[in-house]
Amino acid sequence: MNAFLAEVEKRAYHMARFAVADQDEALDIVQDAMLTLVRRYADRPADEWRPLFFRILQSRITDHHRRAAVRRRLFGWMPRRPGAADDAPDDGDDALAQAPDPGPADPARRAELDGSAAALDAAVTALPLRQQQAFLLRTVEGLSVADTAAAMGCSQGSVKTHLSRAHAALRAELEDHWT
Amino acid sequence: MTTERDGEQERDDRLGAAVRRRLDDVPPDVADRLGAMRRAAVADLERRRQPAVWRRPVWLAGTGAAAAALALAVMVASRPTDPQPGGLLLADADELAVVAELEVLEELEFLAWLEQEALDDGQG
Repeated sequence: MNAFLAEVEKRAYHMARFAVADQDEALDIVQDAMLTLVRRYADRPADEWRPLFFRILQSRITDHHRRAAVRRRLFGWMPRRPGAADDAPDDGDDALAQAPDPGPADPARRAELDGSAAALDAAVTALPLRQQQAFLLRTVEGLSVADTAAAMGCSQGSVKTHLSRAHAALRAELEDHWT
Repeated sequence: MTTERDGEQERDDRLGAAVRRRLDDVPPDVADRLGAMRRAAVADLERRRQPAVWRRPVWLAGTGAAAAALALAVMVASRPTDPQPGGLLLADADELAVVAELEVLEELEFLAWLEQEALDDGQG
């Protein structure tokens, strides 16, 4: 279990950070996912840990966005903190679909970033959350389409659609770096 | 068409690998915190697995003690407090021996002597 967590913890942190745009929140989400995996699924075969862990992680990220959506509904009339992770328009019930793009989305800001790593960060962060999840789980983490769908709580067809859009967006965004 | 798709696939694979490399890199303070979280989670797992090893003897001992206490209680409860006539207990015999008159013993010795004398007379 220790070796498995050591292998995935950094990528899990980045996934959470991309999704919630807050280091401490991301660490809390990863910790929660670790403890839940250990407490509920440690006795399951080791080859099941990866899909289970990322399913838990995505579930916690989804919970975070749902709570943020509720907070926005309840306290939307209050002045927002500048740079707050939850800053996003509330235009629907689907908290995930409406999840904010927390990173530096504007091209001018992105142009200030130097190096391909920063460009990668910015491009992945700028993806809509569902595309981001599909890309990170399927392409980066290597989960199967079925496991990715289970982790995201959607159909396999939706995974393929989100993934295709994510790839197209990233290809366009990172053309200068990765062609 | 196929070549174009292969090219896109190749770029996507390279992109995935690049992002994966990027995601395996975190600042040292974050790496420390992640390591601490992992160790805490694994320690939690070990704590949860320990009871199966060390609690079992305690559980058995506790059950044994409870059973012994129950058996003792049953014995005490079922012990006759008022002995039935003719049913003398060992403790009663001790009591009798203490209370018995010496004359009774002497009488028994006398009767044994008389019996012996009668036998001797018959032979003589």
